[in-house]
Amino acid sequence: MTILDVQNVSKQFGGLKALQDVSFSVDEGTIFGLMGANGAGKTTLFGVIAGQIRPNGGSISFAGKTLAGQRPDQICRLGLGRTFQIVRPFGNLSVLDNVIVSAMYGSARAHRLVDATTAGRQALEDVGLAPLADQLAASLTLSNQKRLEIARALATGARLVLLDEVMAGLTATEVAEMTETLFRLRQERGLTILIIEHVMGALMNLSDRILVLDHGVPIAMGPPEQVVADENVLKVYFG
Amino acid sequence: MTGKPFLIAAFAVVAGLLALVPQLGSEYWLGVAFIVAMWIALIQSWSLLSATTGYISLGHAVFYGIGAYVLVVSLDWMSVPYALALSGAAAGLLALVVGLPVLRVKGPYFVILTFGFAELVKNLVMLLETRLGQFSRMIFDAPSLEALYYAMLALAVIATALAAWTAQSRFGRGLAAIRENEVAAEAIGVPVTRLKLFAFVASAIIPGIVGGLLVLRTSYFAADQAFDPAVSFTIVTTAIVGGLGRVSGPLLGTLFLVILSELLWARFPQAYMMILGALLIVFILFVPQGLAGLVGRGLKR
Amino acid sequence: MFQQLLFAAVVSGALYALVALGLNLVYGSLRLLNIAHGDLVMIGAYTAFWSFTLLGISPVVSLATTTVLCAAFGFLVYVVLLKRQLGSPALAQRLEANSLIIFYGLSVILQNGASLAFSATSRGYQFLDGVHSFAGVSATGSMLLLLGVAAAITLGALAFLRFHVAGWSLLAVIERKDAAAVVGVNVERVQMISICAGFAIAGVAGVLVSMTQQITPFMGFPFTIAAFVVVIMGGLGNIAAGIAAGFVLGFVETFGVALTSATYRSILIYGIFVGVLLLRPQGLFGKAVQAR
Ligand SMILES: Nc1ncnc2c1ncn2[C@@H]1O[C@H](COP(=O)(O)OP(=O)(O)O)[C@@H](O)[C@H]1O
Ligand SMILES: [Mg+2]
Repeated sequence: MTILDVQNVSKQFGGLKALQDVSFSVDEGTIFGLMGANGAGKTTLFGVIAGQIRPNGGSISFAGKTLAGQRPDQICRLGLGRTFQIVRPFGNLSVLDNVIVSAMYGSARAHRLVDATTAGRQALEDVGLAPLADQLAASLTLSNQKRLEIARALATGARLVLLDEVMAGLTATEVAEMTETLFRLRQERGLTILIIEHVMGALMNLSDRILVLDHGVPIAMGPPEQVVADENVLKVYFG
Repeated sequence: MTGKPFLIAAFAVVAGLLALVPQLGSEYWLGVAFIVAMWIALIQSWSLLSATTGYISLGHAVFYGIGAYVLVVSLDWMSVPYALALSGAAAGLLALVVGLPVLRVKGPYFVILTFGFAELVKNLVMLLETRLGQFSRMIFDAPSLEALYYAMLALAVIATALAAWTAQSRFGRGLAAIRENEVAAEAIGVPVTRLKLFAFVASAIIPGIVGGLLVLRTSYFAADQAFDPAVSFTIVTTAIVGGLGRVSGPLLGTLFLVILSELLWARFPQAYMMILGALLIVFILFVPQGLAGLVGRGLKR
Repeated sequence: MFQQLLFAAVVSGALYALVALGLNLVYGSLRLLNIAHGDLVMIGAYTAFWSFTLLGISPVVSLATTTVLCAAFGFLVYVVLLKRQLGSPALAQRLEANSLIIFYGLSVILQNGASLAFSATSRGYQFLDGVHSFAGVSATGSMLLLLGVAAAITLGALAFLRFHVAGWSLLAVIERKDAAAVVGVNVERVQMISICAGFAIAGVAGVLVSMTQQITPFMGFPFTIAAFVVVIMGGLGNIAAGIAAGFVLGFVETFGVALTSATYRSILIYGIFVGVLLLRPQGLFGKAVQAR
């Protein structure tokens, strides 16, 4: 069943066409990879889906509802969470408070502190941050702040999370762990994941399907094996 | 011993002691206590917006001034309690009307915008008063100082309770998320615009009533005094000296301010203002946690 | 009549452009909003006033002494309040966020200090007050001097930015501090010189103002507000556009007041101020974000 449907989305920044006629759909409970060189428009696409960036054209629907004209907080409450490639922790709050506020306001709607704390601790547990719950978010290392981004998206109670280069800067072992975690979340909670990653191997491993963007244009889409063999992709990546 | 019950007990004791001040039968001490309650009410209200969201308002005198103006005008038509309610409502309404555009402006621009806005309103009211041929207005049968004091104390208690409730509520957590990172807050479902507007309106109402009470106390209204930017400045300074983000901050800040003001204001007004300016700089640069932070650390030792 | 208004607009425009230039320098290279800027104008004005009335020193000489005095004050503020904070990125960020509050504190100190020292009485003196008439315009010598000095400094600043290597490093720091450091610009020094120059320019403007208007300890604030209007209209940190915006404000104010009455002056200035901030918050904010 389709959970996210993106149709003919375009976005221009002044004269720069960051996204041109991008269409794809993601099935519930799958992991969908997004690939492309720096500046290809991947982060912009996340911004458009999550409501931070208004597209110039096209339509997006999530769980059957159109997202046109909705604010980011409304989209989040529909069950869509995202992380930021350039991390945005609530620096002066503790790690636990970061996820508590997520659980209180997101689609989890855990308005009471006890419920929000339970949901928040679970999210920290999921990404391996539980031992650091009482530290200030600002004091975390960058890779832990990336984990916190994921935990915060999870704690909202999202059914679909958009992960933007959350593995950048992790060691090989950590990448393997994180891959493990994402698989587990999909299995246990039926979570759907849309993921941008530069670590190509990891993306190949994780994704059921991959979309490749080049200068805002979709150049290939399909299962990983098919995408790596695609001649357009080979041209862009290996000249 | 530093838990919540302890704090609540401490606040209750302070409020109880303040409630007993009229029994002293001293006009002087009653006047001082009135001023103490006034600054607590103003600063706790200001904190509701500025300490929580980090949107530092340097224009809260506008709400205080509007409250004063509305009171003095409406007394012709209604009794004091209704006029005071109208003062608060007018201040809240003003915040509601200007809130959406004003709260879109961020950081230092918000600070300076609030200041400029307060000055604009001051000049508009001054122009209006001149046009009406009024240079100042007098109030003749104001309530007793004792009655005004109890009203002011009630405002201080309400504002403090509101700040304490906000600090641990879902609302307060949403505001803290906005302060820390507005884009991320919105991405996790915090309705940023609505929450900011709500905090802005909430932080305006009590200052509006306070402005009304102060006019009743002085029995005199002149626009340039009612909208005096020194009020905004004192609010910000006292809040920062007391310490942002702690409910006890405004109390300690006010205590400090009133002592300083009693010692200096009447005889050396300029020196008093200079000291305030210096304190503002020193605390913001070197003691960001304020007096409350210092005391808190002292208690922990 | 029209020529006279036009001339008045040019004079006040030149003054605003000058005051705003100093503010822009400080904001541009340090990203600090100096709300005490107008109070330096006041200090310059008092320096000229006392030099003239007590010592008989011509304001023309005071232009030089004020430059030194205010630059030294800028240096002091830089060393005592800012240097250490600007050194560490975390502190610098807090400093930027709080700069307005810090400078507001400084402004209160300066205003009340001046009022304590000189009393709140407004003062003035006569210098070059002979009237010259030409092309339908009557102007005092002091106004012409004001215009000449303001024009010389603003044009000089533009030429400096355009043609001098040091001007380029300043532009580099204004545009991208981090990148400027990478290509070998001594950012700290540029910032220090900017704050000295910014303060000095405000002081010079004060000397010019004292020749043509009454002065008080609280005269600075309207200049601060006007400078902010100008700088924000021109785009923060954009020196050339700021100078043009100074003239725009001079024209709007002069003709606006001529068409209504003097009681509307503050309302006009504050109205423009609030309007500009409200209408272009995204533009302003965009610039501020780029600072990081
Ligand atoms: N807010 C913006 N304003 C102007 N240009 C932007 C903005 N955001 C992104 N861009 C540009 O759009 C293009 C795509 O950026 P982005 O989506 O971040 O790429 P990716 O995430 O694939 O590296 C880049 O050329 C970038 O410079
Ligand atoms: Mg990206």
